[in-house]
Amino acid sequence: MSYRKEQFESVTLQNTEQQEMLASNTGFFKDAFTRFATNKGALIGLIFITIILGLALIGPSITPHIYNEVITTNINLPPRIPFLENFGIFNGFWEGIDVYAKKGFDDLYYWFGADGLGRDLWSRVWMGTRISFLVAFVAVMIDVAIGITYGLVSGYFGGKVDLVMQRLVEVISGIPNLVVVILLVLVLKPGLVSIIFALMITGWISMSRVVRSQVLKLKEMEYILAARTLGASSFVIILKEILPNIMGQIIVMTMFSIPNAIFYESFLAFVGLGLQPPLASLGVLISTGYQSMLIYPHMVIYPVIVLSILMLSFNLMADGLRDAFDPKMKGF
Amino acid sequence: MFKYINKRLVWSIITLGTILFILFLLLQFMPGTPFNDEKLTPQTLAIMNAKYGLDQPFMTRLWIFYSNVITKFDFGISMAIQKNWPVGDLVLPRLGISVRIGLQALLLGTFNGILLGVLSASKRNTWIDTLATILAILGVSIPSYVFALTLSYFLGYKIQIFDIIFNYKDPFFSSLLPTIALSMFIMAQTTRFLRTELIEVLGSDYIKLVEAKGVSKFKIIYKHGLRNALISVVTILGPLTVNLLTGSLVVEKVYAVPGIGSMLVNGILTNDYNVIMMIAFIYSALYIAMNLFVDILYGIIDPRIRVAKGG
Amino acid sequence: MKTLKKFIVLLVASLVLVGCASKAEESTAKVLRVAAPGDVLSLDSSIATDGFSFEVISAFQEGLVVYAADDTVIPAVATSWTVSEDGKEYVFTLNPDAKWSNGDAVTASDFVFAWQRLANPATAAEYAIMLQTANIANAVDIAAGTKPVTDLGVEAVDATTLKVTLGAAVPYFLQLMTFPSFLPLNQAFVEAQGASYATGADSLLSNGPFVLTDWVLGSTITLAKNAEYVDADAVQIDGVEYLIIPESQTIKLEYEQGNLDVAAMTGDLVEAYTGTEDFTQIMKGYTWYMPVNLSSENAALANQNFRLALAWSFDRSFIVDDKLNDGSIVANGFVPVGLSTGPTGNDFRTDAPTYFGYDTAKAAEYWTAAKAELGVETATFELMVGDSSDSGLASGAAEYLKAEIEKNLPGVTVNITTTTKKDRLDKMKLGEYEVGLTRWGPDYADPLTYLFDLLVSGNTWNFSKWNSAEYDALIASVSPGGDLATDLNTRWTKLIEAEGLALSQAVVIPIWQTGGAMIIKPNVSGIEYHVIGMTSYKNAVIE
Repeated sequence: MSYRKEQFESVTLQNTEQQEMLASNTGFFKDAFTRFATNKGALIGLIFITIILGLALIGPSITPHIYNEVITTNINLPPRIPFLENFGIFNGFWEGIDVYAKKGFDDLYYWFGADGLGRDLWSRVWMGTRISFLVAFVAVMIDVAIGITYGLVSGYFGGKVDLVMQRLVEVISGIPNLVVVILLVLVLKPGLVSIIFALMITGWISMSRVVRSQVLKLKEMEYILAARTLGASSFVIILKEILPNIMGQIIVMTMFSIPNAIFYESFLAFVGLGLQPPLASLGVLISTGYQSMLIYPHMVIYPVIVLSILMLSFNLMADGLRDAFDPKMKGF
Repeated sequence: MFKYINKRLVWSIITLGTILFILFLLLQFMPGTPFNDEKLTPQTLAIMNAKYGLDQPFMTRLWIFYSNVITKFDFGISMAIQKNWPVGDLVLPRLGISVRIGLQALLLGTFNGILLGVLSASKRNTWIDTLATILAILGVSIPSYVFALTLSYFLGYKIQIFDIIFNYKDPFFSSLLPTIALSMFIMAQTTRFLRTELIEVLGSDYIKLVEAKGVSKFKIIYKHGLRNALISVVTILGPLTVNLLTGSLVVEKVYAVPGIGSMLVNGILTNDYNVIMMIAFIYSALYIAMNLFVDILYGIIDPRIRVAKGG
Repeated sequence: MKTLKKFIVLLVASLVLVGCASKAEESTAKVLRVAAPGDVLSLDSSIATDGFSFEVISAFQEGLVVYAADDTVIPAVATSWTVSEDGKEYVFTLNPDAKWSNGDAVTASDFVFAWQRLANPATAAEYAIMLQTANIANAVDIAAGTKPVTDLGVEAVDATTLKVTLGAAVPYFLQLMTFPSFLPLNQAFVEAQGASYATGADSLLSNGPFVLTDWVLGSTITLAKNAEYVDADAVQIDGVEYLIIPESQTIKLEYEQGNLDVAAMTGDLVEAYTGTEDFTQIMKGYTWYMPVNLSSENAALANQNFRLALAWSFDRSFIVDDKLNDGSIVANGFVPVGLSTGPTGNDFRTDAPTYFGYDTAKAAEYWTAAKAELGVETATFELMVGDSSDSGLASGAAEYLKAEIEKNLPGVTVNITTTTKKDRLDKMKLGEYEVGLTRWGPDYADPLTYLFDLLVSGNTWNFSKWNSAEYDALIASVSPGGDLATDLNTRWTKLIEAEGLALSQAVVIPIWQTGGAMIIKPNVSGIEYHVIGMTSYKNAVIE
């Protein structure tokens, strides 16, 4: 068989073509931005996050109800939204009975229903979202500050350093979390500070393990050897060669640590270390609503839906960010 | 290799010993006593402390504890959960149940996770990818107790396929719902991780070479891509496995599984020191063993990695 | 791919078939299936301290006397008894036909052995203190270690005659004898079992209506009808099976599916059953109340008018009817309904007045007076409650209390702190709290279990740290050994007076009395619930 040059199409850009492309260099960030903007999933994610953030800020003010007002005659009311109720959904029915009509509430509307003390769930869900945003932010910060650093150092330097650092992780993981938290309750006043403290104890460990394994994998690559030969310090190598290449996994781990932190916070509330009532985060709303789940599902469904949409949006956006900043994806 | 394993084993013992010491120390500060605090008078407390040796100085108690554990693997007797029972008799049967269900969940979760992860990565940015992503996100966004009870309600009660509660007379079948509930989180993490890793691996040069050689897509993914991506998956599976094996409190509660997770929480809430120590020991030993296993696995899966080497 | 699909189909099919197969067995025996939220903590009658353990123990063991369905004390192992004039000596005649499940006769020495075992400091029984509550001679010294166990005021005159000697007359002595710590034990058997006594069906003997046949830790407790039971003819069911299910919504599903006959329901889940024939409301003897720490540094709490304002500022009916919804009732006083019947033939709560209620005007009045006395316009205090595993729905009640108090007493701020049970109890005992929310369970059927234990100065459970010489003197006079101990009528009046004294100063603010919402299959009847005392399944009937 004989082949002619014209039968082949080059998969990668030829030298000449590459040089032509170089002429239209738009800069790294503009490049990344364009990649992000054309990623449909990422955009949808961003839009939803903005919507939820917006609702978290103005949501409680839209309805006439106040999030912490206990109205004993309104307990456990199912959701009722004006206009939508004409379509047979959100019409205030529970187990086949029109609860609002039965109690004589013709002009009363609770968009997400009311909880066990008659408080408006719509307002509480959005107040809770604010708090969960905060908790999520703290979790990510801790992951980044402690987790990534720990994993990078442990993985890159290896040897004795790695040995000791990993043993330390094992010791911290070996002490049951609940014991530490109960002891913290004795010394800390419950509130945001104690939540941060509690999260700081173990929240970063999974991230550090993942980062460490990624670093171990990349450590032996030739380009690292090359950088070292060229005289780059460990610090620079870690930051500029290794870190950008593991962003993918880091982002995935971060996305997982957010709901973990949110549920951990509700667990803390259960032990008395977290936020005290009537403040409530999404996690607390879910765990309280769960207790009546089979009877009044509306109390658990709406916080779960909001949290799920939030997480989905974060993930889509994070994927988009990762793709946008991925050094291997230069060009299309 | 063996020298390395030996070194690690020695360190494991040191680590375990440290954990037990710190825990023993911390337990001194826990509020309350292992006894019925609602009805405990100071005189009764004195008698109880005398009987269980709690009135002795800290170092004496620590010494007795260590020597019993090392010589007889005896963690003492329970003071609250089942008064006067040897702790081993309480913990070990529960460990068996938790491990069994945990392994089942691990297998199911990993299997599904790998399936979804591969689908996701190979059909990237199509609707299959999006669906798999949504499934994975839901797997972590919906707390396990909500999911567990929903499963109970729909698959156990409304459509009566499965048993609602764990039944020791029919351990396999009645453990299916808890298995499914526990596997969700594993599936979610495995899917996402595998997807990310596979995408990177599949974009690398040597895969292009294999592709050019004309190997089928299927073989590329399974034979070449997966092997390299799995290492990251193994990293996260390690600690997750330990969590699974030592039981998830909420899933155990919803399905009435007499597992080790709920016993640890009970032990902590009732100050049953010996139970706490034993379960923490088991958990730590498993975690350390899992770390060692994973570290060794790195070296086997990817010969480029040498954990022992310094940087 | 195709092989994979085939595999999945096969897997699912095999699961379904396995499921069908395991549901095949149905039994025709009349076994009562009861849901329990947790396992027993011990089946040794000398060691156990919690209600559920006592319930199970009482099913397979029987003591001198038991409670009848109407809460009167009736003969059990003891067929009759005499009391000396000074009330310090009881002689019980035992049923000669009473047997243990191994054929041994139940004798007076079984009681002596059991009580001495309870008293022995080497046994480290937490409820050894009941011997002191019953005022059994020398109990205090034996606990202190200054007298030998054999000096305990109980003696086996012969196989069927038991003589009990008290240090002082106790009006509620017979009620105390129903307490499970006083159950008899077969000495030969118990000593032969050694450390493994009460660890399973083989290491326990029964002299009660049922016998323990199986105990799978954390899962099930199975009891079968005891053929050797002296009154076996009265037992109409074949057995009782307890299923341990910690999650109440799972209990609901199991009940609906027909796998349970009896279950306790709580909170919102009760709504689904109110008004149906499955629903049975029962009364329990726990009072939930707020102790106010008089020794705290919070000046407002030391002010009586402030405390009274708090006591009138919230609607107890809302908590009971809408939050708890489980048969609980408003507590009109400190001593619960159904705890104790007096010489008048009436329940204590009937003879005693109603204290507190929901009167916002009155509350405001007290608050104004308090403000004037304290010279402040605002007040803040911390309300310490247990988490949901500790207090269940009570922790939800705290949020309501805060909202109501702040609404009806403008200027008052309530800060809720949640903590674990052990921590909460610790802090209350040490006086390191401001206002708490806690409950008290009665140990015996007399108002003293509340009025003495919780309010006499220096007592461990006097969380309010109240020191009233007047109150202490009142209580001393009506306690065993006091000058009014045997004058039942005056005693009753004094007890009512004592409660009034404490509540008029609002050192404790009673809120509700615990009830239970039980769901019981309509074909089941005859289960006996008591305000104080163990639930009895002896006379249960399954149609």
